[in-house]
Amino acid sequence: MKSNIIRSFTIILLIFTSVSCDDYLEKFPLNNPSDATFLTNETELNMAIAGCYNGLWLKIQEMPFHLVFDAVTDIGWDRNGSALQAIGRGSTDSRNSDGLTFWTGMYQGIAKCNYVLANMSRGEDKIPAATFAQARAEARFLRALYYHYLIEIFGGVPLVTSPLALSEAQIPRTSKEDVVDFILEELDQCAADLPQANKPTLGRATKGAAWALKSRVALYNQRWDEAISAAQKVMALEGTEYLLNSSYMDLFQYAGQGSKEIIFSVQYLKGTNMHAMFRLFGSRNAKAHTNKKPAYQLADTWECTDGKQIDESPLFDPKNPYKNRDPRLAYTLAVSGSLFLGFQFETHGDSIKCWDYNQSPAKRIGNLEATHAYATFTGICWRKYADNLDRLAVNESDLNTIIIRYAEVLLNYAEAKIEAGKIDQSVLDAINKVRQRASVNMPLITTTNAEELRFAVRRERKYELSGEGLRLFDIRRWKLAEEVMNLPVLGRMKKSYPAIPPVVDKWGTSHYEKIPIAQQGESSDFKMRVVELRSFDKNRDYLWPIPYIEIDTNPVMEQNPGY
Amino acid sequence: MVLIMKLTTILTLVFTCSLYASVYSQGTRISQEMKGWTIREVFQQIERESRFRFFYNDDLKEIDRKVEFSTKDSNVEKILEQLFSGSDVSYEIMENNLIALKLKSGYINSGQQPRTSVKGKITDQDNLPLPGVSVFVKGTTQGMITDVNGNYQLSGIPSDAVLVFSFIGMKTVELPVSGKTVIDIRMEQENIGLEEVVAVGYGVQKKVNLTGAITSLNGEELARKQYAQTSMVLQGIAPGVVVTQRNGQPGKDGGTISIRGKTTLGNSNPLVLVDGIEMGINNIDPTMIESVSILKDAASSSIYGSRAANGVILVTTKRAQKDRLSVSYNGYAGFQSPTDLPDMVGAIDHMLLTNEAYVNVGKSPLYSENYIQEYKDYMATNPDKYPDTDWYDELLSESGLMQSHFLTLNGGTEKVRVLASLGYLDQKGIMPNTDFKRYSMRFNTDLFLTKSFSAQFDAHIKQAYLTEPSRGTSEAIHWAGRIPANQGGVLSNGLWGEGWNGDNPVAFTNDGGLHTEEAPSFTLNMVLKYQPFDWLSMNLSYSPNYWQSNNSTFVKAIQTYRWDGSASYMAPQKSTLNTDHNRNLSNNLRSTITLDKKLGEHDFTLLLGYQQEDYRNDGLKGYRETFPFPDYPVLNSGGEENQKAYGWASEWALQSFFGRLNYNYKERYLVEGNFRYDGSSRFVKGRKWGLFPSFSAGWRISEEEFFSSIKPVVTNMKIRASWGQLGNQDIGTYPFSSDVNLGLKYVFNKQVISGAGITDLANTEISWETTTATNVGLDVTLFNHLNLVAEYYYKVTDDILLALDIPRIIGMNAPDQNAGKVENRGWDLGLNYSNWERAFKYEIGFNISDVKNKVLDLKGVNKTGTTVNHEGYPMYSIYGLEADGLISEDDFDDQGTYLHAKQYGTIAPGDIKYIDQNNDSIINSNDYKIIGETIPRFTFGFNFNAKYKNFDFGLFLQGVGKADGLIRDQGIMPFLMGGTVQEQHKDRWTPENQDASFPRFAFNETNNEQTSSFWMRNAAYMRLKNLQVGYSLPQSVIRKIKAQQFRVYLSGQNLLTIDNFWDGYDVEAPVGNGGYYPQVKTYSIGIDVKF
Repeated sequence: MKSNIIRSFTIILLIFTSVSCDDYLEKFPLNNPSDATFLTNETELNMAIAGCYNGLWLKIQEMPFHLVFDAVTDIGWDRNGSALQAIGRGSTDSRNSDGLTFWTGMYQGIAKCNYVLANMSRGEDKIPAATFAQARAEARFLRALYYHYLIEIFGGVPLVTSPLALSEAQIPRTSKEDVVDFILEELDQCAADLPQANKPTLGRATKGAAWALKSRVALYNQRWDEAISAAQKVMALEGTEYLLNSSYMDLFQYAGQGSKEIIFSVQYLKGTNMHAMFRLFGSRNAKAHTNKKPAYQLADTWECTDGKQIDESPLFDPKNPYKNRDPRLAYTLAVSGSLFLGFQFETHGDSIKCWDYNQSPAKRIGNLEATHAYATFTGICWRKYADNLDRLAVNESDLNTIIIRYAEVLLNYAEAKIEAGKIDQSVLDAINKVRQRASVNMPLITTTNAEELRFAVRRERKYELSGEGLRLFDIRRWKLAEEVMNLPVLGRMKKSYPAIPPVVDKWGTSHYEKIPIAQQGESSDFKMRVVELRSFDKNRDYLWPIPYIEIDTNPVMEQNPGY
Repeated sequence: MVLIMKLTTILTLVFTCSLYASVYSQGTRISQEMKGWTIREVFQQIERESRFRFFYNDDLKEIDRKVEFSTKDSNVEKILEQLFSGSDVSYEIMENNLIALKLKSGYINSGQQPRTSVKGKITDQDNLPLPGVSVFVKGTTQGMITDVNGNYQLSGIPSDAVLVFSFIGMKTVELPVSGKTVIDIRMEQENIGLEEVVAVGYGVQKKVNLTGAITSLNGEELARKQYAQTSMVLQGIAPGVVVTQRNGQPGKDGGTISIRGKTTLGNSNPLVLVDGIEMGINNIDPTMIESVSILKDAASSSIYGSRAANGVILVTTKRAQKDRLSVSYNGYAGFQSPTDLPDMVGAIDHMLLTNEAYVNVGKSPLYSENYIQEYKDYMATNPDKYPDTDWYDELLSESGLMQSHFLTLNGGTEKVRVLASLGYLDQKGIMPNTDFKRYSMRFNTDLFLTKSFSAQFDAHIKQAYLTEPSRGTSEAIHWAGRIPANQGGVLSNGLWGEGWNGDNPVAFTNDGGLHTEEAPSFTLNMVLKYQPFDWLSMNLSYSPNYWQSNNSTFVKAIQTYRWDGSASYMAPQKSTLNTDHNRNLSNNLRSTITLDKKLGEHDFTLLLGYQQEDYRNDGLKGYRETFPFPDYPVLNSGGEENQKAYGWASEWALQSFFGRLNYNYKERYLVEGNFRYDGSSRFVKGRKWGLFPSFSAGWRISEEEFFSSIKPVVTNMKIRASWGQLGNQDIGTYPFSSDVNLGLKYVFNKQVISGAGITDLANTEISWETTTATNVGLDVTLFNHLNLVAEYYYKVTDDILLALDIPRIIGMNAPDQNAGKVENRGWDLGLNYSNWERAFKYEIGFNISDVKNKVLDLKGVNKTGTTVNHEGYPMYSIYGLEADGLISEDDFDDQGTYLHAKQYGTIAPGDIKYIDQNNDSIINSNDYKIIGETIPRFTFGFNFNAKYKNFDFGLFLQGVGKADGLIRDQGIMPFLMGGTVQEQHKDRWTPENQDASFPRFAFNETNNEQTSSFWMRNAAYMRLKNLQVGYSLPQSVIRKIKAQQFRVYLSGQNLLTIDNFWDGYDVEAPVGNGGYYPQVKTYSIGIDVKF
């Protein structure tokens, strides 16, 4: 009996003591290294910098984020009933999901840069000084770029420049002015450590990229002198590093990806990260969806080849409205009667057949642009970034998307000079360089009248940069939005063209008061189609609402007025 | 009494077995040293080593006489001869290996008494003969057991003898012979199983002595319902247990179980232990289950400490019975159909109504009148060009054949007993290529090694295959409800139509490749039991559990065609294959020691234990694209360009010490205390360990002297109370660790460059979440028939582990924090009445429970979305605008200016009007409020089972008394994102139809597309969950086919639902856009046979 008890308790004791407590419960991640030793060598620093660039891949409504903004301006429209569409229509609030995606994405990019900048000193003694300095400059450049987008969309935002712990994250908005100061200062400093050589398909920040961005940020915020000097630094490299591409069209196609006009672009690679621009912009016949559409009004913007607006030029033929026009019209938009993605692009309602040139020999096929209910709506498509080389994989384009190119710098320079009251030949040269690109070759601007020149450059920006995501910032700083964003988005007459041209104002905005517009319930066969009615509250809609999560989690965060 | 119970059990077993097994060989040889053993111990040893059973009266003094001898290779007769030579005890070896002991003097000295004989037949309530009943002369060992026909015959008994008839599970009957020669007895079922034991944490307890809140369920009843997923059989049958089924897809139609509300904001599934091993409840076939215990309060579940916060479900599987060889088969087959589907408009209506929606918002009509006329004219003759597709109809084209077969083999010898069960289930879906197959095998083996050592060796092998279209069933349903009827599905030549830009759900479910999930699992449970004394036992178990999840998703490119046969979209543009394999191994080691000692009227049980569990996962994944041979969806047949490989691993461990002390005085005053001390690898050193105690007490008032007068009415009455704490640590595996995300690549120079960065905020301070629960309960049995269980509880969970929204300016993903506090208060009520005594037998069960959930604290951060957790409101509340009907023309002034707060976009009469909660004259996100609650309240179940002659009938109703449901987006909002409308939408607002159920059609206007109470409906319901009619073949027929039981039945599930929810959607539909595989009705026919 006794021995039995002893035996049993021994067994129990053995079981209980055979267990060593501490080691058993020590489990650490098996997939990822701990951050304690991160950034202590060059390999890790390079990886961390790649991580900072990774934020450029943010997509909104499946589009590279920096290209979406046109859809909420007078020149574009998102057909999908999306959060983006609601912004354009002027019916959004702080729950807007695209606003949240954008805000979050930018701050995630900033956080990665902040982390590198705060911790890279861990490896300073093991990393060559030049490499170290360039890495630091790249992180600062990217951070400045992300802040630039944030402030232009939201106004002043919290300026976070080092990693935030949860307990320190409740900080107020810094005024837009102060963030601009920060960005300009940072760009100056990082330019010093960035390489000068422009290698557009390398995708890394350069001196020129920093200065070009600086010219944009300064211009947008009325820092004329800084804009001028930054642009001049880029212009000084013209010929060696920067060059306007002779083909305007190629810039937005695979053919032009290596062009020296491109200063900074987002890089893509098949199988790694791709975008769906072909599907979003392409036509129905090309098996794309045309989700993002240009407003028809945009087609009437470009001048005739004589340099006059269409309501003034004798060259304008209302029956053939796209003839004798600034070539950039046909490079920016697919218009009826043109060749688009290997098809005869025809949006006339009776053209139920069209040619398919992708087949050899070309074949007549049923024309979806005329018969499909969800075809173009406005009668035109965006052409930039829809390259027919992507036709077999419409969601898998690795065509790089341009963030900033040399033509913009020239226009930034011209505009800053005009606004600064420093009109000289260099202003005209800058504008005319853009107008006289080999494939564009529009008549020279010769006026030196400040007011005329001011509107000439503003129109030029619309002619040159439409479809590149920059229009929103222009109509905001010119206070033009309250006018143009109260106009409806129009589509072409289904079976005709207006007998007379619309009235085109000094901004390049076309007005249709004298042209029949389909009223509620009317057929759009012979009247302009109303694609969307919009409204814009000038006391509110110049800024997007701060996402609700920020307001909920940060008591010192102030909402923008009217939301 | 106890002895008799024991005896009868043994006898029954022996008897039943003897029907099938040949009479036991007398030749069993026994070799054993038996020095200092009592005769009782010798008998026990013989019982262990042979099939002989001893049959004696406990009063027999001889039985405790110590003997000293050893046998070598002796047969039993020889041993008995040795034992009793010269004593006054004689023995008789009877049929069925029974050995009865009697006093020799009993015969000699009873001469004075007149002797008589008596015989009779024993039947059960159904008048079926009851074999195996023991019939004794009271106070003697004289007696026998009834034969296969329920007959007995006793001779030479005193004429004033009292006969005792006893059978396990039946009320014992005592009757004086008083001169009768024939005594027939119909025995009644014992209603309150006073001896009934239920599974509790690491052991069993007598049900009457429970002090915690435990519901125990009988496996046989669970298996009566024809559900593929075991979680569903728990729906509605236990008070406080809410099972919600959100969809009906084969393999994914399991219910989510919540016990007494939701205590945590993360994973709130209860811990399910199958014979002590954590396992998904759906891994086990319902037919394998012997019993289920649901531990609801802290007192009963705190012995599981850190994992018990959401309650514990203990599943005990069937084990082999001794000396018995039997085969049983249970099978059924049936078909399924959706409970409800939206009724979409046809092509012409779609176009007309789309035009209305366009025109209403000032847009030009989308379809011209000419086109619509043309459509009408040619729709019948040219359906390819002018399609009128009923997408749901074409998509849900299958009958959903379902079949289940289950075979149980039971075999046992003295030392080894095996129960082998084999199950096969195949549930096909109502959508093409949806299927779930499960093979399950279980071997439960009991080994009796020596007098004090025994062992269990159980193996559970499961293989499950889930198949679904590669793009998922939800997406298919989503598209079916969204694509207008004027888009082509299947062309008349059999080619796939365009659908919606190439998204054709009929095509991609039939021909778009498969997603398969194969989930084999192997679980062993090895238990060694050592019981040196009857008051001390030790248990050591080791259970390795290895499982895999092998998934493959082959998305096949589908060529769609335009009406004229020309090729249209290829969707997707190329075929892709993702294949991943996950290996999981968990090791679970448990040891317990139990001391059970009775000192007079004081009964103590002490349990101490140790447990450790570790887990490791290793995964591997491969990807390839472009498959020239799409019929071979394996990685090797894909193109090598862009091929990718991935791999990952993770592990965690838990370590625990636990104990329980039970004490009762006269089985009248009951006290219990538990503790568990848990360590988790998920927290940093210093925060790893948590202590979770609990206490409970009960008072069986019915056992008190003063109660005796009302005992005939109130058979049993107990009040009980408990308090305890539970924990939760179930969050990411390494929440404390700040690590480098290696997935942040970028492209330079058209080359991918690896990238890294910190993307997740870590929280080293994270630690246990604790639930504190209090429970009071009352158990009453009235008139021996009516059982009532009533309970009230209050639970509060502190330090809830939660990824709170954090300012996004941090730029990292939110970490889990010990942030929240939630309370649950509620009550459960269960009522049960049965009457099996008449020819028409029936039982009625009813249960209802309610839980009120409230979020007390979330550090001021309110999560946003459609279902939200806000301080002061229940979890998962619906958050949106409050609608105030539709705007009328009176809401505008003469100038056409809207008179109320500014709403979204351009509004007009017939749009939804919202209430301006903050009176700032603008409707926006600041006007959002909690508008509904999704956690079901007043959940109830009602069952009625009846039997008449050979027929049986079962009806089961289940429902929810209060809940809100919401469908939004494409599910219910007209023309959302360019979609279509349902027939019910025709009752929309127009100037002629101002009293409409839906707002005016307004294409792409967002005013009516806001989440609002307009789209919310009452989700209370009552459902006829199961209706079953069965017929058992009569005994006479059964005997001819040498069976024990043969029953056929017809059964229907989800036959009828009474609710006020949206037409087209099942009332249990998840809050969302209606894109989910519909719940189904099942009609089946089945048989249960036992040989």
